[in-house]
Amino acid sequence: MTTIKNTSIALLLTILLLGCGGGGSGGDSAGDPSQGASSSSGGVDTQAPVAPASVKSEGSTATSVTLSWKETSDNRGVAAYVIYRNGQQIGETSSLQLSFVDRNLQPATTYNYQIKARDAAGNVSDASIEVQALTQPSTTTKDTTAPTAPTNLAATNVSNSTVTLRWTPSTDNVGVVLYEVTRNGVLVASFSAGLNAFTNLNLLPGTAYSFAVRARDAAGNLSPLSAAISVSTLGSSGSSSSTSSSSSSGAGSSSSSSSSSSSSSSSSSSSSSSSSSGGVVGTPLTAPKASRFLAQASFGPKMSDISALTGSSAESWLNQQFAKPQSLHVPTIDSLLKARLADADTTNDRSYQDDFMQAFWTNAAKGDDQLRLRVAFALSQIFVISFDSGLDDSVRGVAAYYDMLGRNAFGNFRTLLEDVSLSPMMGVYLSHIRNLKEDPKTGRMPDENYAREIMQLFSIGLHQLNPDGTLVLSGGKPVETYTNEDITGLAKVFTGWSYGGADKSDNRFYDNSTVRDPNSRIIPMQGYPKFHSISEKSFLDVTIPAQTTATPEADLKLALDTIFKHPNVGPFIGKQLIQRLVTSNPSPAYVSRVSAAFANNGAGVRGDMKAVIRAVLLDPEARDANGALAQTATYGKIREPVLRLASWMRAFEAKSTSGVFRIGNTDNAAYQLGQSPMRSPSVFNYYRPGYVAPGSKSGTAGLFVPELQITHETSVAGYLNFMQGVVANGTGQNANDKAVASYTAELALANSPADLVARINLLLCNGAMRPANVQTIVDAVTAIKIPASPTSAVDSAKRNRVLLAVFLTLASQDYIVQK
Amino acid sequence: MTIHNTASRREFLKRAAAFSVLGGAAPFALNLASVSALAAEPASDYKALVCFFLFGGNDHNNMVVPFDAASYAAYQASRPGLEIATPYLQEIVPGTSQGAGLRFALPNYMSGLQGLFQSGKAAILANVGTLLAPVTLADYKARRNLPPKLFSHNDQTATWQAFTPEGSKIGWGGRMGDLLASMNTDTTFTAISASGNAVYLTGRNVLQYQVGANGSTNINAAVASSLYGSTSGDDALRLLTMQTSTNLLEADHAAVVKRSYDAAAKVQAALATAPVTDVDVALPTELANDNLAKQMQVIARLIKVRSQLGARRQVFFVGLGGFDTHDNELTAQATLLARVSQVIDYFYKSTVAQGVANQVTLFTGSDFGRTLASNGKGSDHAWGAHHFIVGGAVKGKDIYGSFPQVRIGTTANPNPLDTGSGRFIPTTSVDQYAATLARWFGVADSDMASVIPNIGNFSTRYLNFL
Repeated sequence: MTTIKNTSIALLLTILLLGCGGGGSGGDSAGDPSQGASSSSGGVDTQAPVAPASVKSEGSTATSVTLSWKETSDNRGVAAYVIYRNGQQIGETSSLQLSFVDRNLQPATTYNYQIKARDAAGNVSDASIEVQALTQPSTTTKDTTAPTAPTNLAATNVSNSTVTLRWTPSTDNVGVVLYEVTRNGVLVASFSAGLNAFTNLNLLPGTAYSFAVRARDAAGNLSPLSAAISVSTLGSSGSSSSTSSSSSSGAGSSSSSSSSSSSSSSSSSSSSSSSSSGGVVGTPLTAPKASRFLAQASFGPKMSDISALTGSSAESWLNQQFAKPQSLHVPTIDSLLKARLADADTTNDRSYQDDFMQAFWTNAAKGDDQLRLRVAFALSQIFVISFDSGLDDSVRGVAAYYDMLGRNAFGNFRTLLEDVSLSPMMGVYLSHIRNLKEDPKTGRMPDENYAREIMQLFSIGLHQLNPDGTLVLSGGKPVETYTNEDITGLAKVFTGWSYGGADKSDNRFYDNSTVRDPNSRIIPMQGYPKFHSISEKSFLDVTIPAQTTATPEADLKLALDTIFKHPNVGPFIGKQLIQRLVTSNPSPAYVSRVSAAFANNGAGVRGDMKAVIRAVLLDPEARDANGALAQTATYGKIREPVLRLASWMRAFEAKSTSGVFRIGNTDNAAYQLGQSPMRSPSVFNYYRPGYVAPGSKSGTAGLFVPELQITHETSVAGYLNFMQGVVANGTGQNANDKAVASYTAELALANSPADLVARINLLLCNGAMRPANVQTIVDAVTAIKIPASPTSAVDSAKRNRVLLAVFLTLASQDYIVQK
Repeated sequence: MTIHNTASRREFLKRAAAFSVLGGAAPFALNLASVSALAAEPASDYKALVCFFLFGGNDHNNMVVPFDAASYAAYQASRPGLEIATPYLQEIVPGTSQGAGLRFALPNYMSGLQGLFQSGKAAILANVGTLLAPVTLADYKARRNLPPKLFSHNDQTATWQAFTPEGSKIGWGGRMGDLLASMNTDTTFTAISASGNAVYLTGRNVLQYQVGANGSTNINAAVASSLYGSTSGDDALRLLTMQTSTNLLEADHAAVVKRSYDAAAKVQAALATAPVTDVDVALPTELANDNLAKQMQVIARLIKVRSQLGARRQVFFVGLGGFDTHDNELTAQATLLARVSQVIDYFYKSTVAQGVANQVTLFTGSDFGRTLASNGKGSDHAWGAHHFIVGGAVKGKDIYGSFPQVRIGTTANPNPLDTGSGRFIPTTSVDQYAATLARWFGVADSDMASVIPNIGNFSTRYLNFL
């Protein structure tokens, strides 16, 4: 170990010397031993690594070449390999990475590659022998075989305004990418080939429609249309029961009732935890409605999610999600640290904030428990702690806090409130850890920080609220929920708490490292009677009399029970969850319905988060069944920047070589998102639920628009510039951990701008982009001409069409405001 | 009410004039006539007011410290363990006595401000805070006339900047801008934030314009020749991001994008003539990588290029967070205040180098002051606090307002300002502070109530620091 450490120091010195000396021939002065594992030398390393050998092409596709090589040697170790294509440097890998994938190449083209090795001092080896690689012929020349036409097209669920279609999948020599549905000869939908079902919505009652379906492969080959079927919607008087999906009817329907009933049974069963809906499936969703719901309830829809949910219901999706195991963040922190401890480099034996960011983005993009992840993110913006002050290095602790929020997302609010209060990270952040009881002799008083914010921000707020979230007024004025005396009283409850562990010694209270529990940053704080106030504590009409023996746990229980029972909690927290997930300005009636669910989940339980989440997401005002609310002036929320990136990752199924997404903090508003998970500038989050934008139309109309608090001339430019790069090149710190979208399905539509934009519209704007804007994007895309040849120019134009369509959609108001 | 309506009408005319200049029609005579006393000003006339906000509630007790033996002893006894030891203090000597034998000091890590004070370029306003009207301890106990939501960060920040709690829409910086924007050829640059959004900067017509530490950010697609190979992509982008919408959230977002599009090129072109290395605005080496300093520098650069931006009256905002020192106060606050002092010193020197020192006034604000009592590691939310005013026009080397007795009230020895734990009732209101700055900036006395609605509740409108 010592030897290695010395080496590291030597390398560091080397870098410093080079940095100061301008990288000239500094080696002359050092008399550096040129050979061997001389770890004792502090001299400048001027010896280059040996050129890499055994470089070869492991294979190629039409657009990529995979290279590999053997590890090479250096007197002080190789730091990186540098890859050259046709003499130009195109990338680097770390010394541990002995392969490289060169992407975005032209088909049927020969490329020459060389690899060089570089050490930490910047010495570069000679180039390896040049290796040639030939990319595969382009897919357009390779695949000219169209998929077969879909067969057995049938209407399985018909109401007075909707028709659900199913069919037997097409086959293709390469694979079907998309299905496209025509209605009366006009293309009305295209979606990925995950599920062979489609629900057409907003049809006229008592009307006959002709439907047909065709398939498309990745090369853009179209199958013939299936045999058309004619389906008549039910008459206007006919009501469709949402629970009797198997009783489908309609002229011309060769109803395959088995498939539809199996679909409904799978979605309605296993809802034992559902307390209110009694196993009712709920309204079958169309693809746009499914996309819209997923924008509210997840980090954004993928086409496969939309397909899977189409024809199913929001209720059944919630039930499935409630049952899914939690994607955790701490294990990522631990495994990254373990790897660093195991490697030779001792300078990196620690955790980094970016480790948490990696866990966050990987889970947000790929986690199966999307609802829990999204609700946890919402909770992290209410129960705020932040790396930004005091917790800079507490990566594992913050990750554990985040996992705690996820755990409680489907639990009970009372437990959530206690876990938050006893989190050592919250203790550090709001300074109630090691908070000392008052001392009359010196005039020292307890720290009031947590006592204030648990009431103001985490539970009841400043003013008495009606169950519908409106202010209780007395003499025309709001009534404050507490006075400063309540704060000073409650502050005493939060004295005498510190890190958990095996005993309650003073050493542990003061976090002496000799007794520190290895998990002290992730286990709850514990009460230390010696430091806990025993004087009378009055708050919120409760008084704990003066005591002779300190009882921190009992005092805390009484305090949290009292806060939890306060009638403000339901409307205060419920409204904020609505704002995080659905709309910034819910109606009082909507808030009151969520409050009611908070007060009683239907089984007499207060604070059941599942009931609250159901109430938030299934409310008529959230579902907006006929789409009328979304057309109003006040509906919706500005999609916060973190969600904008996450939705892009999911919609286009961004991938990385390693499978993880190491995206660092995205704080900078001038060239990033101006927002990062768990890096709020203060406990007041990036934006306040009650933020009114000065000088705005929404402000004049009396609306709250929280996300406008971080929207300004710099941030809007920064977002557009950031996404312009991300759309084309992806985002992430290392080549291997970068989230990159391949746009396979979109490229297949590049010849048909209307279809391309329709797909992106469904993914990002739940198909609700206003038609004029759709046309604007279609026109812009169409203006990029696709030449007849050569193939490279064709592919480049197609790619540009996709990039432009995606970027313009991400920029559009239809995307910025989630409705 | 009648008077108020008259004032509103007059102001409306003025605004109408000011903003019709932008619209093309320019009743310039009406405009000048309505802005009192400006007609005689030379074309080079310029004034800027810079609000420097200390987010989180600065502990003023450890910023201006009693220095005579008796007062220091009382201060020390009020917060044992949280006091700044005398070797770490350097005296400031106000020109006007605050009372027989009373002496004061700043921490020695604030040498920049100490120097500015001693050289007459900085003044201190003591125990200033949010008030609706003068308040006594009896009023406090009876909860009479108190500003809503005392001691709450977000609400007191809003009250400081806009005289009402969170949700307020019009700040006094922006209101001053409303009244004087007609002097600027481009009203966009009337109110500029180098930090985030601040209600302080928004008036009824004037909107804040936000700049980053390096100035404005171009939308790349707007300045590049093509967007993913498309020459028409930028047109589509403009349409999609800036179109009018019936949805108010969309409309508001579009308005921000439009301002970003419209102003960035102009700001960048102007700032290019005053690069960061310009001798008048260059940062000293020790501040070269300090974000706060860079924010202050962009303000200095914008002042330098004021004529290119057509600006003659500007309000600026810059802020620094981290002052909520419940914990680890001695270390944390020292680090913050050292930066504040250094950066303000840099900024003042830049205005001197630019020859505008007498035309630029900087003042500090904060959510609230902090308790005199210690919680063992820091202090808690309080009310009145001390603040600095810096600039060539400032009547410096003096303490204005009334410096409180720095001791915690007890039954035996009550302190008439102490509401508990050394949370002092302000003896000067933010309204009076603001009115004094506004008067210097050019707001007529008759317009003052439209900027500072409650100013009539205080018998003394203006203090003498300017």
